[in-house]
Amino acid sequence: MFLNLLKLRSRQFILLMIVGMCIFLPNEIVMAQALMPSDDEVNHIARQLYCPVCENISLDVCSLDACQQWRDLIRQQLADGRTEQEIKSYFVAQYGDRVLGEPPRRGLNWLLYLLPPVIILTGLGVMYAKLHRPTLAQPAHPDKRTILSEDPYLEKVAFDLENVKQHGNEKA
Amino acid sequence: MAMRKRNDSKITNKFWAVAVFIGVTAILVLVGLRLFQDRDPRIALGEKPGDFLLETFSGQVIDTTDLRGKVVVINFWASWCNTCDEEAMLLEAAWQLTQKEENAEVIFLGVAYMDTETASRAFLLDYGITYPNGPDLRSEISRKYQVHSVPETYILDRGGTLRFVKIGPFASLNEVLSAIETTLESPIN
Repeated sequence: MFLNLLKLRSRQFILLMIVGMCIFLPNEIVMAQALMPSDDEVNHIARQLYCPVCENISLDVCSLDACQQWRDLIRQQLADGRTEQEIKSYFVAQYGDRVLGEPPRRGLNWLLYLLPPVIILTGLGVMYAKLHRPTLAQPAHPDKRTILSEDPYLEKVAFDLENVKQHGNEKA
Repeated sequence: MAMRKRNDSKITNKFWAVAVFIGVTAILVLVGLRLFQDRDPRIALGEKPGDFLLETFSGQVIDTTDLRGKVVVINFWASWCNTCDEEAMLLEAAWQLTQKEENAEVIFLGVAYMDTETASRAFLLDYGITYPNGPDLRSEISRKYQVHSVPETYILDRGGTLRFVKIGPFASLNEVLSAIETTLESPIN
């Protein structure tokens, strides 16, 4: 009788343990996951920052040990609750503007932002002006005088012919 | 009339061609200037690289203008640099030797180049570095010295003039000490 009771109690105890684990353990795991930022979150910021010691390689794809350290730093700062902007500002304060994938909008950097649209718009404007330039309607049979007035040589030939005609008539 | 219009059109085309040429040239000049600004040549021996403030990892602020009268050894390093660890131990040994005298004439400054603070602190702890070390905030110090890689070491004489440059790690303690000795003996500008 006692043994049966003990067995029943131990079964109940095991059942309770299982139920308890089902209730509490996932919460713990979820909480831990929530505290540690995912690779995607880290890479989202790392993509916007460039490795300061290599040429044109963003932090998310850089394989150097130094880049791994910087990605860990981003992860740590995200876990500390820092915003994306705060993390980027921290990197600029530490390593300078060169770490930014997008140059800050100040000084000569404005050229990078303004020149391409200005050049494209100017080009489009010139093309539009060329294609839609009003052209003078050309007569099907241009006026004889117009042709003559455009070419001084032809004008002189016409003048000489006129003279020859007149003199010829006079002789006749 | 038509001829005049044609001439006018030719003049307008020429004007646009010249304007576009000038515009493109101006852009190329500006881009070139910007590129050359970023790629200044290394500073030469005999030049004064300019002073800077170094805020050390222990919170001390060192102004190099206050170091006139002393030989200053400036070492750029990083925790991720493969050859910096051995050199750090050589520099620490040299630092200890030069600090034996009461009024030491030599000061060492370590500048952590493109490094994270956590990794830098761990590096200093691992190699037992005791001379002042600090981060190169906004890369301003390394830009002044035109540092391209690590380790690099610059030694200034008592007047702040650059007397010795070592690109890459020192090979031995003797090399470090002899560089310091030569700088100590050099006349002050």
